[in-house]
Amino acid sequence: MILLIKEKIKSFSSSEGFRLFMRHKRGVAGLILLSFMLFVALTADFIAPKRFDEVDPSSRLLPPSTEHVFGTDQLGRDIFSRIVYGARIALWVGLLVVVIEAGIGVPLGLIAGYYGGSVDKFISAITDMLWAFPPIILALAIVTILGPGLTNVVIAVSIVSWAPYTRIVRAKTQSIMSREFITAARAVGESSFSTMFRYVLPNTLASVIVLATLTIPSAILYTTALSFLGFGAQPPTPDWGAMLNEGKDYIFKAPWCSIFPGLFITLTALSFNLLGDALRDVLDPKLRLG
Amino acid sequence: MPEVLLDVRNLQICYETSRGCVRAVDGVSLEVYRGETFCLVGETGCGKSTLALAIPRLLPPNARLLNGEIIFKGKNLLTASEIELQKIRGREIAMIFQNPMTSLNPVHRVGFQVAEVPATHFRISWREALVTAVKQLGRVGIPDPDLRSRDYPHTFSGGMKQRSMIAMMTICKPSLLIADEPTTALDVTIQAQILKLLHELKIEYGLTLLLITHNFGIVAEVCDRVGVMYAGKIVEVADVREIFESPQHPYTKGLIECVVARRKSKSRLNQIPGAPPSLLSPPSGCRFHPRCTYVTHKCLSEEPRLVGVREGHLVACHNHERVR
Repeated sequence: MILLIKEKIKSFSSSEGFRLFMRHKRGVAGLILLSFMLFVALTADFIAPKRFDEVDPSSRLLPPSTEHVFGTDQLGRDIFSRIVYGARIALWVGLLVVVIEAGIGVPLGLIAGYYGGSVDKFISAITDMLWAFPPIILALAIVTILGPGLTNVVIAVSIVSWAPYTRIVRAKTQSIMSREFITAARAVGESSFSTMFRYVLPNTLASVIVLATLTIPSAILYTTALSFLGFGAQPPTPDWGAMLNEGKDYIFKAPWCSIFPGLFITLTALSFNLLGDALRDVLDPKLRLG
Repeated sequence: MPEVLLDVRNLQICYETSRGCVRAVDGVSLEVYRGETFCLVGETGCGKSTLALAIPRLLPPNARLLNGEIIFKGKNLLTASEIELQKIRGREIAMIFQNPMTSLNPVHRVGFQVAEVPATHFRISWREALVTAVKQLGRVGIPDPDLRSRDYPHTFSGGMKQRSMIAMMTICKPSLLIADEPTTALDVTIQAQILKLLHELKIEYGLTLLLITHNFGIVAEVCDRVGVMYAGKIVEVADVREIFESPQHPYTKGLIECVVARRKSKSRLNQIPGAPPSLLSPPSGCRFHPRCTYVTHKCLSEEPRLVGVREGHLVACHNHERVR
């Protein structure tokens, strides 16, 4: 078993895709940054010196020091500990949003591209309409209806931003439909459903993976924005957006309350963007230079 | 009298385009007998492939079936439901395509793709399907089928891809195998091997082969009967021997004269003057008249019908007696 895994790792690390990726310096930087965030999120219980909701009225708004690395907030909570726990929320929310978006967008794109005609027109019209709305306004409207809370924010952000998946998968499907192996699949008696999901879908996955890594940062940014506006995670949840919101009242007196959450939001979004760019370069041979 | 396996009656198919309706197949009737190899010959764009795709109902969405019947084993395929068709495709009627490079799915292993076919048509386990797939790949001449079935299509050569396609299409032992220019994209030595393989499988499984080609060399080699198509119509049907010995249609005659023979001198190759007509607005009367050397006034106004000139020999030409 271990030998098999070793073999797999060996064949993976000598594959062309892996080598191309390793040459992509910014991509590697993104991967390292992201791995760091993941590590922090997974081991939060061991890294954080305090609990995220441990209030200490005697040490309010303390500047960074050896005891409180990132300082403390208006309730005397350790900002470093809150950020470490917040990484869990940010990554989990980003992942969840992307999975829901792809879950809605990919099948719709497949159906639109596969059947064409009026089905395609109907789905494309909805996609275009959604695309025309400013997403954050629409998300705000949905959260107002559903009520505040992290789950509702995830739902709202997913609903407003699945359109790119539909568009990309639809275009990919259309180009794949004209290939002969699709006719061949139908010629051996595959059903439409089976052709769509077993023959067309795997051919679109490279684009979907790239799109997913590129939409995680915007998903994180939207959810933190909604939390910042007070619609998302409710106190005392250590959501980075909510922390920014709480910190903004003390921005001149205690800037560390908002600087550190902001910095981590930026770094996380950046790491996904760098990784996404690199994956696009590696997975799309047409974009490869030289 | 041999049994009729496939009976196409007065089939009309058009493609809807922005410039109007292109009649790719215009009133084609033909019969294919069980166990024979029937060749459909004609120039590019004369509707051969459209006719082939119409039989298992695999036409692209912009194609419209205007008229006609396709009767296979006593069942009209044009009125069959999609579910019925899915059961027939691959099991009863299978189809091999022109370009083996693009007819295998690049993201699945070859063995997977071949095993898919028995797995969809028979109640067998995936493991059994894989075993039959490997066996079939071996039968069509893939060396080391056990190992190669785990490879992806891009590691296969053109000939091996076409062999894999043949394995995929014959694994359920269908009654009718339609091969749409199966060797056009391959080099000559591989062509001969693929034709030999098709012939062997035909005998072994009792297949009926509907072979579409523009190559008269292939016709002479493997066919029993030949249908010649021109501009969406069948102009001549006959036994292979008859076609070569006494072609009755000027177009058939021209095609046969175009075959590149080994010549001593560097004489010019024969050709049929002109080009196939646009199917948007085909010529009046006989569609071949602008290119025909036997043309008469009747040809300009009146469309010739397919008539029997001898037992099993049909021709659509007003002046076939004069063609020598």
